Amino acid sequence: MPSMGGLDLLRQLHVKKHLYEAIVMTGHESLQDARNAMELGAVSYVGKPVKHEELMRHVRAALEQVAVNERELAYRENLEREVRARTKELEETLRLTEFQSRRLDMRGLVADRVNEVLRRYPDKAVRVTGIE
Amino acid sequence: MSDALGCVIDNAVKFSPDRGEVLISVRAIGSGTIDISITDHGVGIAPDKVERIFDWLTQSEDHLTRTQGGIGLGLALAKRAMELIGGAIEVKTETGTGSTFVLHVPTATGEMAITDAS
Repeated sequence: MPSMGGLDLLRQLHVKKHLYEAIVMTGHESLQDARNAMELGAVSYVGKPVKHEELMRHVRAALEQVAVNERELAYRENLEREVRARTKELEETLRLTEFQSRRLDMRGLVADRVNEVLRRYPDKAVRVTGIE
Repeated sequence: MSDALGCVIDNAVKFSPDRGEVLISVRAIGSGTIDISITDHGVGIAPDKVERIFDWLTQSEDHLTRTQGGIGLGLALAKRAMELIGGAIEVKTETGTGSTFVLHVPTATGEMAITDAS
């Protein structure tokens, strides 16, 4: 390519982080280039000239991979949504449980104080209601 | 918090007539506060004294009979204790009818207060 090499383009695209796939076609095949292309996320590395049928085979493989990527992404997003929703539900349940528990503890605390006070005023015969 | 509660209950019983009744309720308000309300049917507090009952230097003797004694610094301490835990205390009262004190207890500190009391 005139402005940058194919491998540089691959680096800029961050292929693995996206849904699209890359096929590298080159007129200067080398083992090192092929290895680099694969490491950078290319799905195929093809030397020119390439026959139409062979190119179509690589394109079909790339499209299949794109479909897999889309399914994986959808599954992951769904899973993350599900986990977030369940976590929120659990947190809410836990919060309510703790709250109820504190309310019960508070009633116990009130009852203790009431008993202390009533012992202080045995002759008044005051009746305390509401926390039985 | 426990001391504040004890102080308010003590007052309610002290200022109730003999064989009177004190009504206490513990209610969850929303998800962050527990309200404890203590209602007595004692002499109540005169309107011009209500605002001063939580002051440090107010003895609030005027509305009491001799046999009941004074509130002293109890309510001032109770108010300060409630503020320290991020809560509040308020009173509704009517002379001759009685008083209702409400302690607003934030639940985050409810646990702390109970631990302190134990």
